[in-house]
Amino acid sequence: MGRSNIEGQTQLTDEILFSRYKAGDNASFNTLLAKHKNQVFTFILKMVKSQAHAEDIFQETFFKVVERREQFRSDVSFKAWLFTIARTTTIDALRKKKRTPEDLDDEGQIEGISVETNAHENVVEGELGSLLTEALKKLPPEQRETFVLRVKSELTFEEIGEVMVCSTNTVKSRMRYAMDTLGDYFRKKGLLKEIT
Amino acid sequence: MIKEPNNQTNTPLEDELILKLYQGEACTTPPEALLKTIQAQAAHSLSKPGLKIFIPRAWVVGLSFIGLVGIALGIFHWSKPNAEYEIVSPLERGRKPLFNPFQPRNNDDFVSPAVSSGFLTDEEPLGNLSAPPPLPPPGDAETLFLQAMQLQMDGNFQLASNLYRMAWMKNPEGRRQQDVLFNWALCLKQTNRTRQAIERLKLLQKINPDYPGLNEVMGNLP
Repeated sequence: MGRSNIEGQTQLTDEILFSRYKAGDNASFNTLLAKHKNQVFTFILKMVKSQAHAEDIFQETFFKVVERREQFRSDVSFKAWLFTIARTTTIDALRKKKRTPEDLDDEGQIEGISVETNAHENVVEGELGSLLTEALKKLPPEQRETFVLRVKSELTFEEIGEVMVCSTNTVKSRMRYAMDTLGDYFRKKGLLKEIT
Repeated sequence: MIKEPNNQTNTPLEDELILKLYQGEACTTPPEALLKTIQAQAAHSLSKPGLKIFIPRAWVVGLSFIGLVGIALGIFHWSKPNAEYEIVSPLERGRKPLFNPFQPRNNDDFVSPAVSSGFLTDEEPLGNLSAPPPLPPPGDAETLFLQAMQLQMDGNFQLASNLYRMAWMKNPEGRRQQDVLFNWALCLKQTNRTRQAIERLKLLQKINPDYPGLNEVMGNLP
């Protein structure tokens, strides 16, 4: 499939693309994968903090998407469905290892990962990057999940509610707590004062 | 909103700064080889039509349950040789086969379907034979008699005896009644049920002492 065709497909909604894939159009799946790969991988990585482990879970997540394609209902958000699978696969993987996300935090040394910058460019490097990672570790798991899904994966509050099986108000509440905890941490480090 | 202890609420500017910090953090890209593997799996999966078959779990559970109940009933049923005669309704009795395939062929052990289905017992006094059965099998007395005659001529005395019994239960009249009794007795004699044969012959003797051949047969019996 040509580049122009792929570009044209990105204009379609995720739900339409996935319906096309179900109907036999493999290119639609590739478009969806290209569109969501970074957000899904980053989310998983933030949960497990191990590159190798995250890769396994990432692969399993998309294998499940393929296997369960007939179970997807077009009246729900594809992105929420995708992240629900990613989340449950991550939780299952962590249970298999009989470790909590907190335990895995200490394992995390993110090395040799190819990175791709977004519109904000490389404003976060070196020491600041470590600080942000450290700050996330201070959050309880459900607040960290909520924060990553909202800020890194760019899900709406409603979608996060679907993924985490809770109400939108609960999601908003968790987000608020997460923001305040991070604010406290950065204030103690003098980071917010410096930037301000 | 309920605040967690020791946490200071951020100002809107602080919130904005925190979000910008994390949004500016580099996103992580999975390795290209991994993406190729996933794409290959997705393409391969499309060629497998079996994945499109979806059977609701409730159906699977329901059908499994019905299957298990069926197997249990089957085991219960076939574990009893005469079960089919015991559980059928009187209306259905006439349509049951004459022979239970699980019944031993030994004459001594044989119990005719008419007996096992409750029409008659081997020990039943002959005086009660004249009483009409509750629900006789299909076919009139004459038809049954002719069929029995044919079987008797073919040497199938056991089956012929059963048909004579059924013909008798149809209350044949006149000479045919006597024919049934006589031939029935002959068949019983052939199958070594002498006592029952004698009882039928004695009854025939009461009805018609001059029945042809009756005295000769009676003379040959102990």
